[in-house]
Amino acid sequence: MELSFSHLLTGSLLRALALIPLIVMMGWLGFLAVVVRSDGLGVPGEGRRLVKRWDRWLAIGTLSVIPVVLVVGFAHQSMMMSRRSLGELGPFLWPILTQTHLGRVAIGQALLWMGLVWVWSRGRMEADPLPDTIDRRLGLLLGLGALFCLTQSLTGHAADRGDWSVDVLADWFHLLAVSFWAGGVVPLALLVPALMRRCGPVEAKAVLIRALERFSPLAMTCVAVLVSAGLFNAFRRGVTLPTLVDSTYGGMLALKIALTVVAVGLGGVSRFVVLPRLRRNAPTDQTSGTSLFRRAISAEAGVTAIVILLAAILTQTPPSGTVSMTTAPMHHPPMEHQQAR
Amino acid sequence: MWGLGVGLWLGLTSGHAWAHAFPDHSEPHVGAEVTSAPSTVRIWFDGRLEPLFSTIHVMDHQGRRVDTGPGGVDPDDPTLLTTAMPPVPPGVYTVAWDVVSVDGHHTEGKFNFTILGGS
Repeated sequence: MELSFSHLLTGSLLRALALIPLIVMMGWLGFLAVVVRSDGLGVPGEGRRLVKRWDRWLAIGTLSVIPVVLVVGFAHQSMMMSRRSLGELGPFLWPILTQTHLGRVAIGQALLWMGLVWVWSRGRMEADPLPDTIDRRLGLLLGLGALFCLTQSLTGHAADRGDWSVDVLADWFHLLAVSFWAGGVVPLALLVPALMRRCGPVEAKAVLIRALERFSPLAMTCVAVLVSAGLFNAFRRGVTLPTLVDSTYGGMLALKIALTVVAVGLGGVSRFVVLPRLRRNAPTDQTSGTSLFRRAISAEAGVTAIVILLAAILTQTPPSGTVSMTTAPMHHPPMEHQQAR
Repeated sequence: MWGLGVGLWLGLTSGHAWAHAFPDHSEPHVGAEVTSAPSTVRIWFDGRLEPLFSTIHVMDHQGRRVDTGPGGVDPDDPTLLTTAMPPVPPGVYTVAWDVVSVDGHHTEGKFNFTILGGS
């Protein structure tokens, strides 16, 4: 079976489909813990019911998509590794599942998914899950979700250096930081305005201020982790500017970086422009701050979604088509016909 | 602010600087001229390999396989691909390798080395 651009495209799409529900789920859990907290952002009863509905539907949505993507992704990876078509894959599935790194991680992912379903479904049965959510159920979900993020790092490029390498650790922190930041933008963009509509003018503004005050430290911490992990990885991997401009890979990476800077800038608008303006204005004056917040947060959500898609494409793309044995201890000609697929 | 920008740039490169396993060095070296046939051909890669789908063959100038195999990933070093060689006559030999890294990506390639004649 020939491997082609369509396989890379399928791999990128599947990676994106694997990342998006995970990021949304982790972002929501982080948002619940840091922003909603046990006081439900201080909104009245109807608002609390809305938070619970979000919790229920996000659980159903993300936990339904994850196993489908796992199965399809595993089949696709098996086709890539064995270079067999789907119809020829049967005899290879069991050896791949039990004898390869990807197979063993897939088993771990399935167990973690079952754990997430079990813990989340227990929360649904409780009469008033919000206070308990913060204390016990949410802690368990965050732990299981963080381990699920670790499995993504274990199936990514960082694992080439070893399962328990600092590279995997840095990649894991990177993904966790992206999840809490980008995933948290979703409820900030959609849930908070919905909660505001269920309050009076004064209370609505207080809800927005409270949400921004609580989310901003989380987002800034996530950016700090991104920077730290990135500096470390750049040092480890010898990243240079020429490697970013000499190839399609480099071009996509440059685009991703530029869009992320834009996303951070839009986040900065909410933190450093909207929040001071809301605090300054009269309690009943909603228009000046909230409309800017809606535009900035919608743009931030859209840009981060594109960044995640680009990240998924990059995970399937080799940095370059041909690499010489530059790190060999003695000088000699490069290998011939060397290519990545 | 510039520091943040640089940090972000570097941060977003994480996870992508290497994607596939590539050779680091080999014995014999690429293009080497050796006076006697090596007993093994070994290639060290910059990442871990999947033994199930990683292969190495050595062929003579007529394309006939000459290594005695089985050839594959060293059980003690998952970055090492190795195969055994019998005593073979002088000539040009081609080492062809095809590996899958633990992240599931394929790389393949080939290189030559020469066993010099006695005279």
